[in-house]
Order: sequence, then C-alpha cells, then structure tokens
Amino acid sequence: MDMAYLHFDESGAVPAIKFARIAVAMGLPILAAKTDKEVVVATVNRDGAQLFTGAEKSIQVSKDCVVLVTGHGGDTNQIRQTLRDLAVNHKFVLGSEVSPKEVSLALSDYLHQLGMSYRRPLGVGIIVAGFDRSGLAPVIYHCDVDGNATDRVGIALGKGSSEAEHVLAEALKAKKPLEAAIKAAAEATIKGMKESNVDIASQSFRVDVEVLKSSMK
Amino acid sequence: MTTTVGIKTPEGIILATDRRATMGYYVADKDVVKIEPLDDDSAITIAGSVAQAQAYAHLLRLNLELFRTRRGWPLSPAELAKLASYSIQRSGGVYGQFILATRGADGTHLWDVGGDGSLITKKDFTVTGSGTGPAVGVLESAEWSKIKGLKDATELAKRAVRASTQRDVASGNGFVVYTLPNSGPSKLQTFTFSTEVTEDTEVAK
Repeated sequence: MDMAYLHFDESGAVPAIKFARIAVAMGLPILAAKTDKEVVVATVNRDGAQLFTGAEKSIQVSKDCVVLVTGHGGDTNQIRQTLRDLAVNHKFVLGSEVSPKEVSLALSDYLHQLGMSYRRPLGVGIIVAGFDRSGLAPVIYHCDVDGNATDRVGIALGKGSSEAEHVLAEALKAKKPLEAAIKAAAEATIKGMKESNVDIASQSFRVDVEVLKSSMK
Repeated sequence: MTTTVGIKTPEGIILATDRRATMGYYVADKDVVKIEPLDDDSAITIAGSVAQAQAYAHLLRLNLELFRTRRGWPLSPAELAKLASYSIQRSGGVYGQFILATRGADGTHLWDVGGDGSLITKKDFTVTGSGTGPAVGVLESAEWSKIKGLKDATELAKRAVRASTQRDVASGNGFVVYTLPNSGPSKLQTFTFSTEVTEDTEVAK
C-alpha cells in the first residue's frame, strides 16, 4: 500500500480514512435511537432473494450490549471476532457483562491503533447500543473509522444515513414513540435507495427492529 | 506472618489485624498497618510477604482508579473481588492471604482471597495468617446472637486478634481496625498495646 494514504494530506485529511468512510456509506443502513428509558436499534437487510438470507449486522456482545456493523463484509467479521474476545476476556477477568461504554472504548482504541501502525482502517460503521452502569443507563455510541467514539441520542449509518437521521430527528421532535421513529427512518433509507438506483428499485428490503432490554429489568 | 480478621454484620464490615512485622524470629516493626484502604468503599488486609502484598494492594487501587476514570463508574464489589482473585491466579500465586471488604449499591460484602487466587464470599467472618487458630477459637465460641452491629463486631475482632497475639509469635504489639458501614464514611483506627512494666503481687517460688 502507498503509505501516503495513511498520512495527512494537504487538506488535513487522511485519504485512507476518507475511502473507508465511502465503504461505510455503501453498506446497508443501521440505525439506533434512545430515550432516558429505552434503546431501539434497527437494521435494513435485503429480503425475498432465494439465494441470500441477509448479513448478520447485529451482534449481541453481552446481556447489556448490542453492536451494529455495516460496510465492508470481511472487516465486519474481524469486528465480530474482536467483540467476542473482548466479551469473554471481560467476563473472565471481572466476572461481569461488558458494557457498551467499554466496548466503544476498546473498539475505538483498536480502530485508531490500525492507523498508527500503518495498517488500513476498517471500512465499517459501528453503533454500540445498550445499557451502561450494570444495565441502568441507556446509551448509544458511534465508533468512527478514524478511532473516534461519540455519545449519540440517535444515529444512522450506511446508505441514505443523512436522510434517515433527518427523519429520525423530526420524529423525535414530534415525540413519536421510539420504535415508530426508528422504523420511519429505516423506511426512508429504503425509499431513498430505490429512488436513486434502478437495480435496487426491483429489490425487496426488510427492516428488523429490536427494542433492547436491560439485564436489570 | 500475622493475624487478620473480617466480620460481617447487618450494619457493615469490620476488618482487624495485629501490628507486628517479622523477619524470621526478629520483630522488624511494631506499628505496621496491615489494612490497605483501596478507595472509599473497599479495603484489604494483608498477611504474608509484605512486598508482594503491598504491590498487590497498589495494583488493585490503581485498577479501581483506572476503571472509574476510563469507563466512568467504579468497579462493583463483585467485579473488584473477581479482579482481586484473577490477578493472583494470573501471577501464579503469591505468598500471602487477604481479606477483602467491599461496598456497593447492594450493600457490603466480605471476601476471602487466597494466595492461590481462590475467592470465597463470607457470610459471617473469616480469619487469615499465622495467628488463625486462637482467633478462630474466639470467633467460633462467640455468642453471635449478641453481635448486632459494628460496635459489637469491633470488640469481638479485638478480642480475637488479642488472643492470637498471646500465642502466635508473629502477631502482636497492637490492633488496626477498619470499619466499613453500609453507608457513610469508612474509618481506620490504630491501637497500641501498653508496654508498661508492673511488679507481680505474688512472687513465683
């Protein structure tokens, strides 16, 4: 690989990171939103194809933590393995369920370390959702490809994510129930995909919504 | 070695130890504090190799701080206890025995952490160190129905450690008592045995 892609360019960006974000934007949408009581996540998958059952985008890492991943498929598998190791190691050392906060910190460290050790970034968008503080606090974190982790109230990643976030924000402003708001945002991404691509227009999609349960309940 | 005692009551936990440090048959120190507070909600007694025990307590203290700052909330009592046993087991064992007192949202907990990395939760009391025999004798024969709170447990722990200092050469010189109530601040107190010399009223023949 040309190492220049892993350094800052004259515009202040790291080209490899920019390209990784393009890979993320090509993935099927993943979404999450929370209130101070609940967390709802959703994935959009292809549906109705005889030979394809859909990719596993939602990973149950622990009783209190679900991770949604979209983007490059091989990199998604790498993240899945990293998460399994993290959850098992956490349980072995502390005897407790790994929390979303700890997962987001570990993933961010890992993603950042890739760039610092001259390896390409992973082309995946990651949403970490669940309950911190032993199941008491609903949380959502976005782990970016550059190794940054941010707290979110709502988020959409993948195809049509900006439109989905707009729909989600409007629905939350209108005090729609969280599940309905997420569903509306997910449907908006499907509509957007179909309108912008004739090949996709003939395909069917399925929205899988999950209301996360805390281990405390 | 040492005598260390831990007692769990409905009001909280008492840890107590003697104050003697030995190097073979030499009393190396007479006012050692063998209870290491780890944070506001936990403490550990140390018995055995001082260097290993001090490093171990330091490791636990730093881990508590690390978890609190990194993830934003402290280790739970169960997490701290598991980490305490895992750290020893991972290192292949240490020459020491430990009693861990923890406090969390679900109350106080008393744990026995072995030098091999074993972890046992205790409902009533535990004793470690070379002075275990006499101390256990006192505790086993105590009237537990009368041990209602921290004050009663403190007196019982003092009696148990005192008994060991009479018969175990590696225990002596005073007590250290640590109180961890179910709520409110913890407290560390030290007591020194009197060294006053008094003349016997009856002369031995």
